[in-house]
Amino acid sequence: MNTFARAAALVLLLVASGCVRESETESGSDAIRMGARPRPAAPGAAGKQLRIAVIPKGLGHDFWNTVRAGAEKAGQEEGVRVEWNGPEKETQHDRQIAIIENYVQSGVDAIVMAATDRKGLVPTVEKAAKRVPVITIDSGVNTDVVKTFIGTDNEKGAEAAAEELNRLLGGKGEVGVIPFIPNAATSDQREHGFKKGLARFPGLNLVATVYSGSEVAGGIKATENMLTSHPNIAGIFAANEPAAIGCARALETMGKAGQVKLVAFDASPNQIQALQKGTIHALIVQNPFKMGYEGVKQAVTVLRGETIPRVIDTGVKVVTRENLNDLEVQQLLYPLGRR
Amino acid sequence: MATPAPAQPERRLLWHLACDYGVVAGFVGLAFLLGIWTPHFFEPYNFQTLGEQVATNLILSLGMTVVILTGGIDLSVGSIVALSGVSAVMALTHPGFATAFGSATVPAAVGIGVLVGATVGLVNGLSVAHLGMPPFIVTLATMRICRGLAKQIIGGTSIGVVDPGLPMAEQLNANLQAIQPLGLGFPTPFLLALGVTVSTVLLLGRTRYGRHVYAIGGSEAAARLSGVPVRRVKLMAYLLGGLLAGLAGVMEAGKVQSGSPTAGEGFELNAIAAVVVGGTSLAGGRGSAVGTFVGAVFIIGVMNKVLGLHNVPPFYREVASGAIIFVTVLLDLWLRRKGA
Repeated sequence: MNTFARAAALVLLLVASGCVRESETESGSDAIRMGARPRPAAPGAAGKQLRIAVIPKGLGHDFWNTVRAGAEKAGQEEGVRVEWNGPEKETQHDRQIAIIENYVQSGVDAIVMAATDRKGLVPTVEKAAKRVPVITIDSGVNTDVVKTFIGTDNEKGAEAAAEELNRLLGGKGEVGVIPFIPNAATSDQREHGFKKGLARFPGLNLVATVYSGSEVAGGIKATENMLTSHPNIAGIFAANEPAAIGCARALETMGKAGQVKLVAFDASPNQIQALQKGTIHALIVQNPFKMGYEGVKQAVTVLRGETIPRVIDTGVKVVTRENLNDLEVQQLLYPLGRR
Repeated sequence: MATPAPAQPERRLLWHLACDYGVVAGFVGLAFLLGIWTPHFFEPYNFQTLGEQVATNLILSLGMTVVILTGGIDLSVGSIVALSGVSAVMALTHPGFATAFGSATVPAAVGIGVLVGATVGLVNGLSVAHLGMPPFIVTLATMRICRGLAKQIIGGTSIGVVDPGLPMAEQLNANLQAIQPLGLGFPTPFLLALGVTVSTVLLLGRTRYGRHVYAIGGSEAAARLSGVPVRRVKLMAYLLGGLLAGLAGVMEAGKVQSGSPTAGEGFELNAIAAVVVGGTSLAGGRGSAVGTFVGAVFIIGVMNKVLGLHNVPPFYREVASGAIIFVTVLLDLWLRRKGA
């Protein structure tokens, strides 16, 4: 029995090492092929179909599903293959690094990615950019080897949130902010932009900054603790989807829904429902569909050898219950129709 | 021959009591002091959220206590939280399921979540008790398997509120809404956790099963020789751990109104931490459910609350929670050596 188990383990080991060696040689020859290959043929022309890897920061949230929908739409239009994979959680920098390396190894033609960490991903992106063009969407990287950054001007979006909160509170009151993870680019920019926006409204007093860890449970806890230590908070800015949902849930359970004015980034079905209920008062809606769409479009443009702008702002829209049913807003919220 | 006064054993008894409950009393006192130092701590609302925030960890820790007392460990509970939550939410938001079960949909879905946990617990228990596999390895494997399954069955993303445009959406979302009180708000989560605490205290302290658990943890060979049904006792311990993790999974899903494949990450370590700071020995045989209650509520729960109310930055919070585990266990060890 024991001998059998050992023999089986040995066989498994041999098979596994064989696989590794095989894939190594394969990607090695691929690299040579890539080096020798002239500029990829224009899509639609004869030859291999272009493969573009789109790597989000996380897989869980509707935001990333919408990015994916946009990327796939562009993929269909351009006749390129869009491959999608990312870390399970937005805090898993190491997972994202491995995913990028695997895609480069497997010979994709371009990488479109949202960085989980502005600085931590720099070496990986610089290495990848030596072999394929890299385009960042939503969350950039601190290096100039990327072809372009396509995303929301997060500072401007958060300033708009401050402005909206000022309007809802009639110009005075204590406010709190729930960013997600310190040093994550998007989180920092929104926190900073919100504070910059508040500076214009002396009646609003920022009394608490509590991080959610980009999890709904974290958003609930942040809100509960924030309102325990600062019972007079009249308005909250939740900087992303999990923070917003968590904050809305906590406010509902506390019976403070509607009283505390809640302005939140993003617009998942959960958030839209909370907006309709009146727990959330305004949504700062980005255009994740456009990020995915433009990401793939611009990648194809680069592969054709054309130059593209260094920064593309995809803009935000302040959505309230009043304009929720406008056609333009509906198209932004449901880019593919209702699922 | 006259014995030197009964005061001697009495004093010894007092000393033992001091050592056994001194740490507990000390931490309850410390929690009180931390509370005084923290503004808004002694407000009813704060205790309500404390009760809600410690509930799932307490439930997981109690199951973990029984497993650890037998000399085992269960690393799979965090992943069970994800798998059970995902299963329950899938059932709640599935039109076919809702049609089939009618008004019993919500209890049926909660039952499915708990059952999923119990099933994994059963697999753990069978592997440890009957196949003789090391608990660490078995539950490490089931931890990965459950996490993977949770991701696979919902395609890697989380699942929650049904889009209002879809058929039956209103009813399905009402179903989902119905489990929210299990995890969010006061008092249901805390009452559930309290109920599990009392049951576990009684199970370990007042039943033959409880005595068997301690016997196995003390010395498995001795327990077997004295006729303790070692396999059955171990099997039941993992089954209970899995079942409670299933319950915790449904509560977590209720709290966030969604099933997420990344839910419960690291919960197994939080539970082990609560058990250990509550004075239970990782070698098994020594410890109690009361200790775990103190560990989960007064040490870990209050600590998180205090750090949260003082708004300590998240990274320092991790450092602080690690340091507190370290210091608590060191203190416990030191007092026990003095007492022995």
